[in-house]
Amino acid sequence: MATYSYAQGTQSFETRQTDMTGMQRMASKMWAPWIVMGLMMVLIAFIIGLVLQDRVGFWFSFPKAERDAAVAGTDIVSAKAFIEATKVWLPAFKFLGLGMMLGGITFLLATILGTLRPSGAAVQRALGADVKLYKPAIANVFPVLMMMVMIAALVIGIVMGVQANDLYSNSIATIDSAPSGSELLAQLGRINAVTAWLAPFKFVGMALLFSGIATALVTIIYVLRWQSRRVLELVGQ
Amino acid sequence: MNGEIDLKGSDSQSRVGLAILLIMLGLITEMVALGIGSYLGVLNGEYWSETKAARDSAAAGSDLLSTGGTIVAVATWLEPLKFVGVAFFFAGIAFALSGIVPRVQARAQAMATAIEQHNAPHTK
Repeated sequence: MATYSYAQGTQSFETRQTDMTGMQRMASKMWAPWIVMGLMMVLIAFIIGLVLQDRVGFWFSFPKAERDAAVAGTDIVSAKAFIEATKVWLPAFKFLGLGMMLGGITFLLATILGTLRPSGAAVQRALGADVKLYKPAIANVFPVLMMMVMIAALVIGIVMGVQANDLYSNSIATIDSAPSGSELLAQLGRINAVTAWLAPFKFVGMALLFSGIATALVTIIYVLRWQSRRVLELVGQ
Repeated sequence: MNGEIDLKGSDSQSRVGLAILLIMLGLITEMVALGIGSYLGVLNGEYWSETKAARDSAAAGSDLLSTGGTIVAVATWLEPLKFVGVAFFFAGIAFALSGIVPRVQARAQAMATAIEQHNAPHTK
């Protein structure tokens, strides 16, 4: 148990980390790594974007006729496969990075709440009163659960990326001439279908993270109001 | 002194109410966007499962051409709609942050009252 205290005259003021909830203790340790990891993911996404630019430049350095006629296994087809696969999974990866940063902010707000809680307990102890701690029900919303949507989006993005890589490893001519009901066309349909709903799905993940931030802010308001009432209650006002 | 402290925090409460309303609007907007995106996903699945020859030679007024048009047309406003949802969230967060200010002020007033009460017997 970490205890911070200072003495002033005959009065002592003490905040105890044990007055924090388990989630608040974890949040106080996790916010910095989450923000750093999120930032790194966004930077990595930017670097991959630069690599993608190189591949796109390579792809367009050939005339359309040559690109369409390129057979499977050639550099042109490999470049196309890389471009299409990356276009599917990279946005989900970027969003997960942003999500981690938003999660870090939520953790930081939980840390502020975790600081308010032992501080309130310390004031009550200093006044010789029974320590009453307040935890609004709204504070139970857990940011890690909110991250699950973003993680799911990345996993789906990677699976679709692999599919896009498989599909575009075929020559354009083969894809364009794929007969109705073939596996190639089914793959093309699947990739386009999933990509269409994956974008709003990522925004739902972001929405949940924003809700977590707003929830933490509202909890801070409730806790501040409760602490003001408690102080006045203790001095008989 | 207590009479001067706005413990009920009606101003703060209205901001919290507005923040919650905006957050709910943001969530609803994103859910609606997901619903439309899912529908678009089904249309995409149908459209791209057709052969390229069929897609390219689709006659005016045909279901296939209409599906292709819907996919492109809906995507143009679906993207901004998702950002409208995000804007609701930012507005909600701003209101929630602004609601903290009066609570911090009321807390300081409550502490001042408590200290006054605590010091009162010693000053007599």
